[in-house]
Amino acid sequence: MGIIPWAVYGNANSMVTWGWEHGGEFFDEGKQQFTTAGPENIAALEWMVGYAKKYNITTLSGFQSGFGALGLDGGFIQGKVAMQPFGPWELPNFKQYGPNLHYGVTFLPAGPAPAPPHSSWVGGWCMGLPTGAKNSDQGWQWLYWLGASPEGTTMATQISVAMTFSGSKTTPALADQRKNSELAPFVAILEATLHQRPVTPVTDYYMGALDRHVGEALYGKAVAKDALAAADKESNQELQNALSGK
Amino acid sequence: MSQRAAIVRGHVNRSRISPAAWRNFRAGLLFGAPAIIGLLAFSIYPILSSLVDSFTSFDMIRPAKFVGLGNYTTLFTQDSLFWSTLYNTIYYVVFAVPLGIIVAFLLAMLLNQKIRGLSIYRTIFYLPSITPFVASAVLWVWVFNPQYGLLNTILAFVGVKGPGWLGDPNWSKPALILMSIWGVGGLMVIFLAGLQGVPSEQYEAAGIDGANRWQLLRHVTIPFMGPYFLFGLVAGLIGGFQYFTQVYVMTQGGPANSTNVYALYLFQNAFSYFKMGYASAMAWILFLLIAACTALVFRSSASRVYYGGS
Repeated sequence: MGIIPWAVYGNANSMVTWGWEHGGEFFDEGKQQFTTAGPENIAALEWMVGYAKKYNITTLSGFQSGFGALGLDGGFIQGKVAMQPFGPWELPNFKQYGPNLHYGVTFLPAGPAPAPPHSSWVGGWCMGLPTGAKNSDQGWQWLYWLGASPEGTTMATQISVAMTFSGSKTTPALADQRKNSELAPFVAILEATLHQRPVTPVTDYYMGALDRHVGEALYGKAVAKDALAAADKESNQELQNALSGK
Repeated sequence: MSQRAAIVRGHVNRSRISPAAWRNFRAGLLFGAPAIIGLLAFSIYPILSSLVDSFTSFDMIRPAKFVGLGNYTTLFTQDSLFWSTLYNTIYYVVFAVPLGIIVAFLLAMLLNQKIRGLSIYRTIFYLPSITPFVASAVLWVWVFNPQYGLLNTILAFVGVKGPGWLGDPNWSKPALILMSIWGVGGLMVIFLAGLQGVPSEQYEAAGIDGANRWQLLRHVTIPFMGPYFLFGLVAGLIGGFQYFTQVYVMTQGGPANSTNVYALYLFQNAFSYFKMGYASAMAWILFLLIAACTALVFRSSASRVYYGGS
């Protein structure tokens, strides 16, 4: 198999990955609305659905279940899947279970214009200060130290398996990673980051809704446009409730 | 009324009971205190709290706002997932509960024979029911594996190409129902006890009247097993409506929402989206649904279940 488009860490993460690669957007900051059902995202999902139909998603699901406990990493290491969107946190698996694996790392292919030729998105963990938190000044100083200072970002990189925090491109840790032949391609991809998932009070809900509706489209239970519109409708209602304090 | 009865009935009147009985009562309360406090703190308080929360927008971060019946009306009128998860749950209950009762009864009948190594067979069939849910679920993921799984390997052996099971929306619910048989050991033991409680003279009398094996089963065994079937049905209903762990471990509600059950959606609302008020409303609807089903079963079975005696 060349690639399994919906296996980029679940349906929702797959959707945002290929949506952005097609030049789509998922959130309108000005209107504070989810805008998933835009033409580029619909095209991205239709491409995924076409793939699911062509190769039969149920058959592919069976194929994937043969990858073993490592999931998609297992398929990649065993040579059953040729290409896999992944991050540097998978490298330990590759080293342990596929010490002789030969692979290269590069950008994802971009969709038709106006999609940017090279882009990537970042996700992961985030920390925040809730409204009304006690000692918010001290809390902010700590967040700033961990997220932006040379010492904090170095420590964050050392204790996590992921790359360093977004917004800290000057961190010494990143310079070290750039010298590392395995990590250098990831640094280049990180530096081309254009997107992150929408930052809203209901992003978890949105990703859940996207996961469900994209799944229904992939399994032929809904057409791509309707599936994305349904995710928007539910999530915008949820966002409206959250913003109005309901 | 004796002093003891007065205490037991809760009408404690210090002027009417002796100092010794009063001391005993206090000592009893003191010894029972850990359980009573535990019950109040970890059962009664959360139950009442969830009832109050179900009328609020509580999200564990901001102060709760009273929304009246808002959560309930949203669930019934706007939330399509509420209905689809309820459908998936009822689908599971309708098929898995009767199937579990039938299989448990058949196993109990088989294990009620006088054969060598009976206790070993009983142990073997009972063991799966005490295996932790998560461990069983992980095991069954492999049993259902379309490529290398035990089930499809056996089907292939007899010339049948097995389905995708958990990866196929048309087969995922039947797969979970099939898997539910794995846990019938507990009910089987109860049925076994019930079978051994059927008076032997009833079989002898029916035998003298010329009853064959099927007639003995139909007119002697099954009527005497009525209370046990009723227990199996009620316990199955209560457990079935709360079906969660296996789905959480095996499918996370997929593929294409086909195994997204009510309790999983409730859990997601509470602990993924932090909509505690909404999740509490779901929990109370589930409670009322289970209570209504249980009451319906009891009412409809009142004249049919034979409890022995006259």
